[in-house]
Amino acid sequence: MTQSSSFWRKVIYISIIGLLLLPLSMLGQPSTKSAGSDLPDGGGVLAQMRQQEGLAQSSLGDIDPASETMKLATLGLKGVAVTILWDNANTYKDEENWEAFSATVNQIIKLQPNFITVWEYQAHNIAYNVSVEFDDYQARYDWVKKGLDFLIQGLAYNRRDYKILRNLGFFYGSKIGRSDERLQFRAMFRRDRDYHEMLGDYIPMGSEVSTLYGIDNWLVAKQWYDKAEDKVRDGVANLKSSHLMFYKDAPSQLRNCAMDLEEEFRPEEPARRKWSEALEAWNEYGNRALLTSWETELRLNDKATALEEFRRLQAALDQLAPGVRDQLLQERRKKLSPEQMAAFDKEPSKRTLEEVYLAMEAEGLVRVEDQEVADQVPSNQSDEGYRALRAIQQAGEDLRRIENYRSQTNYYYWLNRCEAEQSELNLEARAAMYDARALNEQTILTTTDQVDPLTGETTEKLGAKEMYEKAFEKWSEVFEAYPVLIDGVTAQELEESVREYRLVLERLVEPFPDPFVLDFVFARTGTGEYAQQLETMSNESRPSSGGK
Amino acid sequence: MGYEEFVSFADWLPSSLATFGLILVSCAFLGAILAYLVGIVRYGPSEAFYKLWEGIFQAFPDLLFTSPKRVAAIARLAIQETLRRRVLLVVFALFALALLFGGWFLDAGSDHPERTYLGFVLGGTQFLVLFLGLLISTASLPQDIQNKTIYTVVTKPIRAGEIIMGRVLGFLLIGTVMIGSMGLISYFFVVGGLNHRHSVDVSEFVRVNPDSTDTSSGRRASANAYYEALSTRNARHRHRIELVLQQLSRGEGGSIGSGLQTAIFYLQVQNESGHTHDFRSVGGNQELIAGGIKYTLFEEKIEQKSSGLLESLLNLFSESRYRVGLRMDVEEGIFENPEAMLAQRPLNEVLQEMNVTLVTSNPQEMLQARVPYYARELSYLDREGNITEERGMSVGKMNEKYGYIDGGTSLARAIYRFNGLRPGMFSDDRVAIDMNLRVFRTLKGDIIHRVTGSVYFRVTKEEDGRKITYETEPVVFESQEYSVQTLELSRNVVALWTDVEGNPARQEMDLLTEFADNGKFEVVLRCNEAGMYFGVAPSSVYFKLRDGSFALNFAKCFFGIWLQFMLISSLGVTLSSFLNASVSLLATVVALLIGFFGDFIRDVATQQIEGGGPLEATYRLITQMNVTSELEGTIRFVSYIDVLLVKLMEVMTYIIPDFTQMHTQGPLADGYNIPVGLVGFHTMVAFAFAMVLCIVGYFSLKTREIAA
Repeated sequence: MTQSSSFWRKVIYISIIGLLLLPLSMLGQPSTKSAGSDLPDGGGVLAQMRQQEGLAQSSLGDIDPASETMKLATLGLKGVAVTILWDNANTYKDEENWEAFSATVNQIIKLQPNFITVWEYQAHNIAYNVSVEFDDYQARYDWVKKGLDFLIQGLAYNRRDYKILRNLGFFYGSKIGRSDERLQFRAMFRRDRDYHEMLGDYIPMGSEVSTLYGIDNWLVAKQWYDKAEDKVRDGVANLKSSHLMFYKDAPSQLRNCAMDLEEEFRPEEPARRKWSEALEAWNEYGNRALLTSWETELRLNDKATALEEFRRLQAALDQLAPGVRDQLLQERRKKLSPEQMAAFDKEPSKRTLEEVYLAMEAEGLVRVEDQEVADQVPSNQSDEGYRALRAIQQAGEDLRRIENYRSQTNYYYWLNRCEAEQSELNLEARAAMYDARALNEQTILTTTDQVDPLTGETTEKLGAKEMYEKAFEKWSEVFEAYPVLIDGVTAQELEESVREYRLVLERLVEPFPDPFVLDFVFARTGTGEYAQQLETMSNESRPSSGGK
Repeated sequence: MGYEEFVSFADWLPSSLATFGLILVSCAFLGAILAYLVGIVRYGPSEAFYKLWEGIFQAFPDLLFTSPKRVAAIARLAIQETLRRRVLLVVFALFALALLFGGWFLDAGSDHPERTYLGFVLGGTQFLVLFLGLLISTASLPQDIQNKTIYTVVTKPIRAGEIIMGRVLGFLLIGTVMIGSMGLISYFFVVGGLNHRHSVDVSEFVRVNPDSTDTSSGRRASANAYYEALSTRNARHRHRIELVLQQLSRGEGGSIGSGLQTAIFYLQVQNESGHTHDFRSVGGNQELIAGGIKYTLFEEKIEQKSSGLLESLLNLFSESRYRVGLRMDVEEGIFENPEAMLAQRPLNEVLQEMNVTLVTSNPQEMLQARVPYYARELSYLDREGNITEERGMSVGKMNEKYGYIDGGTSLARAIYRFNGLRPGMFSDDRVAIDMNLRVFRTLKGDIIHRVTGSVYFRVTKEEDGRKITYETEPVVFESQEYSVQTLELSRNVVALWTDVEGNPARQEMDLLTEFADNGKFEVVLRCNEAGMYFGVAPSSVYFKLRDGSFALNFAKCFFGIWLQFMLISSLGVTLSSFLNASVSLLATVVALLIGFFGDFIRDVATQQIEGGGPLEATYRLITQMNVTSELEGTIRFVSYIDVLLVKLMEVMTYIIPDFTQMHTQGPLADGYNIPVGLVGFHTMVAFAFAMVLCIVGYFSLKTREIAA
């Protein structure tokens, strides 16, 4: 090989390298920032594509030098490094080495700071899975906070995301307020001053999140949900989930707060005020135009209007075929059994559970379809009849959609509940129940006479038994006034109180009252039989000196 | 945590020496055969035989008459050469940079910041030092040979063994200085980075009820706490300070109704971020008389027990520890309970009138070196009270280290058998039992309180031909999961047994001298609550003899790194005596990897890890093939080649020492003393290996000389 051929070969190599650099430069040239502009512009094809798709690191969120250094240090083997770290994290978790687990998770996130699922998954892992491994509820609370802190860190890296904010709302609400240790968690959260101070860097921590008793986790959760809504409203993030569910979250936190306040403290003005705020927020939610999966908008509060329209159109059809609907209805009613007929004719709120089913069957049997009415419109008005039918079908569809959406969020129940809970009657019922529980805990089971040491006057102090009875009386009045609560969770909540009352009676060797003031409630919810079963069981196990 | 299964150095050495001798002779024999075979190829059978014997016979005088002076001269040369290469400067600069900026990213607010700090400095030092060892040891000889500067040495009356030993020694001296200075800087970095104090605003003390959760902090008050306050926030945390009742004494007869005369409380700093604090001196006792009560704020110096001169000397430099308390004296017994006494005047007012400033010490129970005394044996009783072969019950956790015993009426127990505990091992008439338990709940139970258990001592003695079992009254405790909880118990225990007539008997005894049977007794652990389980491992329960010196423990850990450096240096020098620089560097890196990942390689070899050997794994990686799928077709041949490769690697894991064993960061970070015997064991292994390497290096250099 001659010297000259070697030289030319080198020249060719260098030329090829030089040529290859041109397309490389066109592709990979970084964008530059022009003076006075925050956003980078220009750059190679890749830089421009990143900018267009909003994938540039600077447009996703903060750039962390540690994170970037770590990514760089992996020399393009980020995927391998992340896989190893995930594997390590799982191993540490299995070995219950929580410190190492936590440190590894922090390393993973340095390599994948814009991967939202990683933030969500690992925050959930820490707050839900790791925290429960600890026997001490205080340690559990600390680990829940670690999970929350971890998720908060993700905000800075992902400014255009709303999911982390929603998750934060969910974690602050449900993990602190719905765990087995919720009483303890909420109490610790209320008094965690340093933590409140830290949260102040992200969300308003003034009166928005406070009640008379301190800062409330549900109200903090609402702030996170509000922030998520702000991002969507301001166009920073694109909403890619159900509008119905997305906008439900923030107002729900107010009633959760009110419910927990009633459980933890004697139900008084602060809880009532929260119910009032919850009603207002729920109404606002009902008035919001929600984009549906059919790509049309609807408002949950439009049900009455839609129903009115539907009925108006039906009436218009009926006018075209006078008496047809009634005639068909009467014919079909004749086919109902006497039980079905009785249940069908009974006022809905007075029906027992069995009657509810019978009435449902009856409704199916007697239903007159609009098509049947339209088919019987005189032939000279037939076209008009079918036009009316199509309008009815469209109105019916609109109504069904609204109803469907309302039932998904239990909208009507919560609307009524928020209203009912503000009433004096409800507050009295809840206060009596709270007092009854307190007396039960103090083992003051029945009424006692108490003598004032100063005046010598004797006063009668109600015991747990009488207080429970008073509470149940009040509750029966509440259910009379707001029958919708019977079908909701309120009646189910009362089951626990009835169980406590039953135990009080057992300790006093007294029978369960028959009839019971809330019989109509439990007959409706189907727990009447259960209550009777319990009664039978307790009677069987009781000595013969029992009440029966 | 700790080294519960460690065999004492005295037990290990005799048996190991014999094994080592046997292996050495076998290796020498195999080496001779190998050398002869190579010789046959190069010189023919008779010439090879002659050269082999010549080499062996020359080796003895060469090794026997090694001149320390010449070794020292070579060592000096090696040091000078290394200093000229400035690699030391680069490594040290990297270390300094890591400490300067790495500290910014260390999470001081974690539950155990000391683990993060120690992991950082020890990991960093180990990496840099081994990197240094690799660079300087593998490049030195080949460069000399390449530059022909070696001839200026070998033309002198110097032996091959002296060249090898001199170089290793020179590099070791460099390593010693580097590791020593890095260790010293690291120590001050860790201690300085973790040290912090808190102060307490005495006006913030508020009344709490013992064991109540209705506190100003929302945290549960201790069982005997009457006041609480929060310290200032420092190092990203605060501590709860509690006033806990220590002792009550009543008037005449000491009966209820005779009124309290004295109540003694202590101010206790509650654990946070894996540590607690003592208080600094409040400047002696301070008194106040108000409302018929004499309040005395007192301080007690806590004496530290040391073992050995070095530990005592190091303890002199540590901060003095004080316990601060409040004594309340009443002349006439008018108060029936401490609540009534405390109601006379709020604590914050008392302390404010005394004009007291409460400042804590630096962290305690953070950088420590507990000296444990482990049980010789752990056995389990099943639910029926029978000894079971199984290691407790499984509660379905992945971590199988802990066996579980259930609570309530179950007779399940964990029994730790101790032997050899002597009174002199403890500083006073108390013994401390450390426990590190796991808890498993099958039901929610009482959320506020942790699961309770009890511990008692048991011994069976033979008296007059009868076996009598003595048990002490159980000590009930509330478990503390994922942390070490200490039960301080009096050595005077009340022993209960059934006498010859079958009557119950009881007597006070000294645990170690009277209760124990020639130093043998059992610690029995039970879980008290039905539906709850305790998880225990052999190291879960032990007697804490004392707190050793953390500085000394830290030094032992760095000594482990030094041993690793020695192994790398001697390996590098030996390999470079017959390989060129880059190949010897690569070979040393491979040896290092085998030394660090021996367990992994053995798991691959025994197919405990799926995915096959290096070739099969590479194929799977490239084709993104699942590790559990079978290889099909002709590509299956790679797995046959892998069998050989993996076997070779497995054999290498038995030849190259396990580097991870010499890295004692785990017990150091967990706060356990590294036993001197263990350090001795590591030292012996490392020196033996280095010695063998030097001999191999001698022969290979000699061969190379001949070839040259």
